[in-house]
Amino acid sequence: MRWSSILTLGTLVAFALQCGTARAQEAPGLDFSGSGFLSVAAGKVLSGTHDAAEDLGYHCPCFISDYAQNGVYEDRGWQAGPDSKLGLQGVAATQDGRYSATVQVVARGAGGGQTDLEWLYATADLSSNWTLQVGRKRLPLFQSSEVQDVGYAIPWIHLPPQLYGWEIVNYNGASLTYRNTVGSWLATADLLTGTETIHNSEYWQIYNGKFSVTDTRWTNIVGADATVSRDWFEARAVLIQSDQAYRFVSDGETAYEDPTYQKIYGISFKADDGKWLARAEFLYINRQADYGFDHAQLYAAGYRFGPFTPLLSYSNYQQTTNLSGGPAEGHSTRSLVTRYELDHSSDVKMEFDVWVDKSAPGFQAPHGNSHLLSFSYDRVF
Amino acid sequence: MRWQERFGRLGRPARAGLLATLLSLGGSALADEVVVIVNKANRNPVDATFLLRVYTGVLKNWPDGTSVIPLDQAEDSAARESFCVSVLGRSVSNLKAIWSQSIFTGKGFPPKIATPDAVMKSAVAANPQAIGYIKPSELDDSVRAVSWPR
Repeated sequence: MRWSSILTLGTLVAFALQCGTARAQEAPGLDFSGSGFLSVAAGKVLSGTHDAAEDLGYHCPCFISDYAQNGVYEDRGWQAGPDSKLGLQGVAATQDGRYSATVQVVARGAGGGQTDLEWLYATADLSSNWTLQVGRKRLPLFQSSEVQDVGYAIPWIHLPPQLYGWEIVNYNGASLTYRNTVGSWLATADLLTGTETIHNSEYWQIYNGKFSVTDTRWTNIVGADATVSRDWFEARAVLIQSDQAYRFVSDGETAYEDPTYQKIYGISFKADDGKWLARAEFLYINRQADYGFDHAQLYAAGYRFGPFTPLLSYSNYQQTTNLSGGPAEGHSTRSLVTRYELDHSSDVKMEFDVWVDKSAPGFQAPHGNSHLLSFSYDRVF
Repeated sequence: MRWQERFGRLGRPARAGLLATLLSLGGSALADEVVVIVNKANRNPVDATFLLRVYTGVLKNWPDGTSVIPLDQAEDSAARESFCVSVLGRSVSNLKAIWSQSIFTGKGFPPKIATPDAVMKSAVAANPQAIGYIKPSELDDSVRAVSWPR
């Protein structure tokens, strides 16, 4: 595991913390600010099965905590890589706050260690209702897509992988946001468009082999989402469509295959009254032009007892293919998480996950069933 | 870094006043040990839903369409704790987690810090778009206290 990138950024964080207030600076007409987030996590696969003859380079039983970043806990004792990350963000904004430029880099232990430019965008508040952002951003496929790296902001150590496991998490393009109140409801709508190309996709290493190289790209991404909220309740719907194409570089492919069209539908509900919190999220992807359909669901409920927040969740993924006409890859995860707030900026979490492989014969991955115990320390600064 | 350090502190301490309008408040605000204040020229209605939306960053306007500028007390202050728990119905940490989502996803930045009460009061008195909160004992006629039925 390559930790040099995390260590480098860690040094920067230590310097920043030592500087204290030095991270907020003002220049004529501009405000500069810096902030960041840190998750130090460790987990161990306690038990499990190994479903396929070919292990694809992974020492299984395994637990996949982050598909997009190839975050995989293997049967190798305690591992600190898959969910550990450090993010640094810098913002330069005009003093009226209407225009800003933001950069965010994240160093991770997952996927062998890497540092990625996750966000780089300019923001213009066109009015109090309209906001335009241009640059590199998270693709808002799911309710918590945009905040998936910030451990302190989510109740899990790793977001349920059955739903939050997808190959593309960013896009380069533009989004236009509109927000307004409608009676007692607050409504927000986004339109977005862009493209994304990933060389040596971490996601595809999970399927094609740990040492394989696959490039993937989504073009003509066009999407919209709408969120309505009132008091403790929030509902969100999203529709994103694009063309997608791959090339299996380590198999000698030099050209992308012909792109195929896909449509992604999502709907989610969130309730949080300060004590109880509950979530339900549903995903349906039509990739009939490629291989078939994907369905995923997430259910979660928790309760805050002072500094403690225990949470139970269940997530499920099921693929159906054109070829078999029926179920193909499928799996679920049941999770019990307990979060303890250390102070207003940090927490520790303990999570126990039970992964059950329900794939049809012929579609089984080597990962099998697994029980994972993991711990994390999360902080924002 | 503490959040308030990112933005510095606002204004200068203003002279503490007397409780000229204290008796006109709803009983609930007094029971919460903080009173929500706005500029005297601001006649917009305020209720708990409005406050929660403004202090979680999802609402950026007053009902009359002008931008709202929320101000917060120091993160470790008793006033902040009382405001979050009694008025917004959330813990300070819960609010912090919500703002973490906004900060790192480009949706907004937490309220600027104006602390202690005298600084908060002078900042609100100087800006018709501002809203904040102070201890009831620090209230005077430089700002308007707001209350709402609960």
